[in-house]
Amino acid sequence: MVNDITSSNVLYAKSIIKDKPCIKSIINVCFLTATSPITISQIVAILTDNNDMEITQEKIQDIINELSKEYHNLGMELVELQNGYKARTQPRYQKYLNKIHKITPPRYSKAIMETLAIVAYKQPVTRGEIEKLRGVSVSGNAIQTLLEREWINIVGTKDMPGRPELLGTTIKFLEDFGISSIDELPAISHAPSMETIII
Amino acid sequence: MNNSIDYATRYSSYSLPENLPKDLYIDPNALLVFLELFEGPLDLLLYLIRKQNLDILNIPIAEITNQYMSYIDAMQILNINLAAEYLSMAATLITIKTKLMLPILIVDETDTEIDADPRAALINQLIEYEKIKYASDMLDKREIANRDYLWVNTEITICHTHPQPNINDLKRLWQKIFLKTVAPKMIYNTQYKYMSIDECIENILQKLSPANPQNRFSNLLMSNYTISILVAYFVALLELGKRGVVELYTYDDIDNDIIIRLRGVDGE
Repeated sequence: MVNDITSSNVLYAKSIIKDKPCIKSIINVCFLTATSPITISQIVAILTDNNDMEITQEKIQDIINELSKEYHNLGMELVELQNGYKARTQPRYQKYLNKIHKITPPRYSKAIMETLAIVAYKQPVTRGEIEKLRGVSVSGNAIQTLLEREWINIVGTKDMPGRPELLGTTIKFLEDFGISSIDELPAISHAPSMETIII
Repeated sequence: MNNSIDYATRYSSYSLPENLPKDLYIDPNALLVFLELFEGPLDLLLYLIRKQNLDILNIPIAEITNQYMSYIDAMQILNINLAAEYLSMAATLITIKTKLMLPILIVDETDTEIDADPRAALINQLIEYEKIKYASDMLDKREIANRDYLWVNTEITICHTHPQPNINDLKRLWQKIFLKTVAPKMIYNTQYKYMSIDECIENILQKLSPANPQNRFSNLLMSNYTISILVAYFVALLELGKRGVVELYTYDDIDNDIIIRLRGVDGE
């Protein structure tokens, strides 16, 4: 029935008739080709240039939410990061992607993960502090791997003899681990047996 | 306790008899793998404490030290590259036990520095390390890019290539240089000066830098160059292009010139 056509479909139909690009499609191609996250205000900015329609942040947000649902049905998901939105594949399809792209998924050793955890929670830290916390004197390889992954970087030097380098996590770390900001790291204070000791 | 489950799953594949490692009747290979699993002395100590459900705040040092030492012995028997920190920890444990056995001497009652529990530093260290282990597990359980998912990024090919000069462009370039520089003074040019192609290559590269990666070829030439130098420069240009050090391109509107651009420098 004609009356069943929703208003958004009408808009979509109109945009096709007028040969005007559909906003959702614009946003879609932006996300698919982006190498870094895209913010809502960026989208508003590119649309206001050549469009007479009134574009508000809320409207874009609505369209992004719609798009996000459509992505979900297509094996992808749109994640909100500290500095915008980015599209990624759903983890459940990773095994197929590994096959078709002949990917050997990386495996991260305990040493690497512990080192990363120390940098994430105690940053900025020096190599010496990492070694002291782990009780092991060789963290070089782990740090090297993390630097190569661009999950950590050198954020400065500590004002002490030898001026050791201070390590911190990067935006890429937050992105790759799906953490919206460093304050959003899961708390470790409620880790098992975390009573503070008073002696 | 969640944590003990973590340890149980981590070590479940190794069936360890209770009195291990005093009697090493377990398959030495399995034991080897098991012992190599530890990230360091703190990890081993935590394992020993958690395995027996001991109170981390009130560790029976003598007992733990004994067990710890038997593991160290096992590691030595199996020729595991025993890191110094394992031995250092053994020394720490023994020191703590020694201190615990000594009677506390109160020399001066007003002494504000009351001897703390000698175990305090180690216990703090263990607790901090356990937090890190927990955080590390939490991070490892997250979905991680390239391991659990991929970023969607349709590769876009932005075409930055420019029209490449063909043989005719090079011919016209040579004609232009020849007519401009050499022809007017050809008759009375008696000055003989030679330059090698290598020298020319060096000169060209010196005038290009990442900050200023491109130039017109004719801009690199001086008006007092002799024909032999110009030929050398021209060959140097071709050589650089052939070796892929520079890109050569041309436009219709640049007056039969050729632009020479360092390869691998981004931007226009």
